[in-house]
Amino acid sequence: MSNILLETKDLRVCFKSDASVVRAADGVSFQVERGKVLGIVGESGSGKSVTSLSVMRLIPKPNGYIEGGQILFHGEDLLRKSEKEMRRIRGNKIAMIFQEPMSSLNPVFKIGEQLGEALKLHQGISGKENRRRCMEMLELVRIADPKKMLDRYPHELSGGMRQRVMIAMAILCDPELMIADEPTTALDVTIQAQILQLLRDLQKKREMSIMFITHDLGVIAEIADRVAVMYAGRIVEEAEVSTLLRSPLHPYTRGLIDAIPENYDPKFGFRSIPGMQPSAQNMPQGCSFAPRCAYACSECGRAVPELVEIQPGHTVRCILGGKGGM
Amino acid sequence: MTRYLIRRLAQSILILFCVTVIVFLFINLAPGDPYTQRLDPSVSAEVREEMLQKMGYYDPVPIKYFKWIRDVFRGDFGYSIKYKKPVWDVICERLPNTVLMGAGALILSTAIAIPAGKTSATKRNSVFDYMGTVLSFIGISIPAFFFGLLLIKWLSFDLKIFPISGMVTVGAGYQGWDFIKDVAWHLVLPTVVLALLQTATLMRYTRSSMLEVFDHDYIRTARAKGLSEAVVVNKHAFKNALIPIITVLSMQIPTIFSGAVLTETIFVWPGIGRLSYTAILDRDYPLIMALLLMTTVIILLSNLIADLLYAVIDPRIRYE
Amino acid sequence: MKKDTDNGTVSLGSIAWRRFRKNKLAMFGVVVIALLILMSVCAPVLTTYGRDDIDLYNIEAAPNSDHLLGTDELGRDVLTRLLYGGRVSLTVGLLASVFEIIIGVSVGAIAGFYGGKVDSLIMRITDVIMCFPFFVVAIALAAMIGPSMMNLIFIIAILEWTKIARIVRAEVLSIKERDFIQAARSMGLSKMEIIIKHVLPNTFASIMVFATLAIANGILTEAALSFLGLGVRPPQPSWGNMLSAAQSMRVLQYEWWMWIPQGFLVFITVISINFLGDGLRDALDPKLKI
Repeated sequence: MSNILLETKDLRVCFKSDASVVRAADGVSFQVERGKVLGIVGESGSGKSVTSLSVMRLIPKPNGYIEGGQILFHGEDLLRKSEKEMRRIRGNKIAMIFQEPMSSLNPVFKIGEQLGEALKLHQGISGKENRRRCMEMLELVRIADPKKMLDRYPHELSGGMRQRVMIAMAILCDPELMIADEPTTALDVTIQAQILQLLRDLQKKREMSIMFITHDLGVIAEIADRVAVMYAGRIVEEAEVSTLLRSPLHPYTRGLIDAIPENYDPKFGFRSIPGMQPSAQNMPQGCSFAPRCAYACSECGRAVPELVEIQPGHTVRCILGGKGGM
Repeated sequence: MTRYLIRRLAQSILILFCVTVIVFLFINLAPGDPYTQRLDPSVSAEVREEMLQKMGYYDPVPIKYFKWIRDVFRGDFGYSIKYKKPVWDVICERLPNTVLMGAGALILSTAIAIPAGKTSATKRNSVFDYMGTVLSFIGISIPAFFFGLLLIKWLSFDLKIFPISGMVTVGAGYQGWDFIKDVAWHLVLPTVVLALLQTATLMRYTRSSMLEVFDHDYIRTARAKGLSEAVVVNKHAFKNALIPIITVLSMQIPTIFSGAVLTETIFVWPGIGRLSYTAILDRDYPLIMALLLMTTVIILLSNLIADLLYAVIDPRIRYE
Repeated sequence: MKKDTDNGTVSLGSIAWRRFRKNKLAMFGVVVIALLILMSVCAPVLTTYGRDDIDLYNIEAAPNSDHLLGTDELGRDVLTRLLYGGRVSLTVGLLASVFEIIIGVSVGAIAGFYGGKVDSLIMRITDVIMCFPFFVVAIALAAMIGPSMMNLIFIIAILEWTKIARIVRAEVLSIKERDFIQAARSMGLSKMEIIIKHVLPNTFASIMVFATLAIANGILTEAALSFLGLGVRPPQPSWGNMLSAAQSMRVLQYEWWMWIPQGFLVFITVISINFLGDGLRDALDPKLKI
């Protein structure tokens, strides 16, 4: 049995607007191994959320669509599945939690109802057994008094509690893959740490794979095994977390690491990457990071650099082959 | 929830008080006071004077108001000038006919507009959506009475499918089941005409309300659970979209009364809409005021029911 | 700073115009309304008959080459009266809408800006007015003060201003808290100055959209009230009072030219205005701005 649970190959996702078509993800390829956590890191607009929604085939229609590529789950292409087959995978084999716990729960249904729904749908469990399983999950995500929780409405809960409920909902059907789209961004720092801890424990205990999306390299360092850095719709660097943090090859990754507050160095002051990510409408020719890159040369504007494997398991999309980042 | 409802109830009572004051002032400012109208014109001047005294004709205005309100609470709205009998009796004869037509129109429009609005929203920019939008534009733009006249001309005069007017076939003397069928047959066109505007309005609101709900994160959550599109739309989205829909539905009640005036007039339907119109032409003030007061109370009640329904649907209001 | 805002408005206006132009239904509405206004303004040029020319030898004549849309019960040319009637119907709609806006905007702005007791008093008044069945009160008022065009405009305005008042109030409440109003306040501008110079321009979009829809509503109300004989009085023609001919069974059944073109004109006018209003909403609504 292959060790790869999920693999995307050359995934391209587009969005239509009034006059133009914008490619939000452009040739994204990555692998998620069984029982491992892949972090995807990038600024907003880098295409990381779009990539995760594509895996669920939940790109907002009719403006967004998947232009091409493959998403292999257990070696089967999800893009070739019918909507009905896809529904059997969503919430069952692949579950997802979102950035906004405050708005991700339906305000007019009780927690128990929203939790139990997926269980009933995918495993046909209803009634008392359904409630029991829901309570079990709530306990697992460390919610005190899970019984009472089932009869509460989302507006009665704090953000952290809601995110726990979302996590309980996601793991209820024992998924093989969980996609976590910035699950801690909207939370306070202390709650953030608790939720991360919880996710890590659950992942170990249930041998689940996680695709963890965030803009925060600091969070990635805590939870991920491997990490892919996305910039303007493309993966620009991918490596094991420790490798990437120790010896980043892409100038953009270097910039991100410098921007982590823990790496604050009084000698240089607070460092951030100058400039802004190019908007998808006016993507520069060649390397999309070149306009902000301190090492850019005329070569960079010519063509999009290929993703090159510099060391085993460490790839980078930069013509300097990592020399720029050193 | 109790606090919320009590607040709403208090507001309604305040409005009702203002309405009664306005209606009362109308009565007393209108030419032809309601007191002398009640008297038998053949009695002598002294008896007349004495009776006026007893009825409170010479009381100061606030006392008059108080007495009037007391009478209204007893169901005594005075005598209709034209029909020569208690206003309450006149209204009671006609009210069920309007309720029948209004309820029919409300059910018909809801049954069409909500599914159509939902489909329009889920299939946004489809042919169905486009047709629905244009049709609802036609519905809000065509004068309802003109639409009714067209239907009478086309379906009643030319094709002779439906009766031209009235509520029963005159002189047929139907009994039991035949009578019900006869009334139902007469009811079709007025109900359709009355329902037209409601359907168009409600459909537009349902569509936009659903579209707004679709943008929320919890809809994505529901899809991510693997729920079918039907469950996502009909359960998760619709229950949230219902709140503005209920607002519109409750606002339809006054429109139904307004629409009833014209619809009942062109179809010669013996309801309170046409009664209001003729009462106004006849300057039958006691009757006009009773009708105004009653319709206002019905409107206030429907608003209160809407408030109650909000609380049932939306837990955020319930626990306020 | 000044330059920035200027650019902002210019591009916003041009975005709105671009969006509006792309909306086929709205453009259809504009063209139809322009034609209708032109036709009713140019009525004397377009027809050889006078508005009230009676021809008793030619009563209720079917459409023919002399009278393209036939004649009415007094032998007056129907087409001619339709053209003149358009003046009345459009004027009623327009003026009623203008008065509604004048009352509604000032009351709404005062309620929203001053808040407190003033606000709750005004809101209760609108509650009471909105609670009456509009049409019943309208005909009662019309019967009391007598049917005429000006009275009709007055009745519509006095009963319909509450909606725009509520819209403006809500917008003022939300705008009031924004930074630039706070800044204007700290600069010592009086409340009235702030309302007029800073708050009202920001409610412009909603007022425009409401105004168009109010014109449509006014025309429909005119038609209905005049149909019942409580609006514009003959011999002055309006589309509504011409339609009341259809209350006669004979006219309804056999003499279509005396009511169908009238009703159709009301319908086409109102739907055009509604298309226009809808296009305006889509074009101006800041929520849709990208």
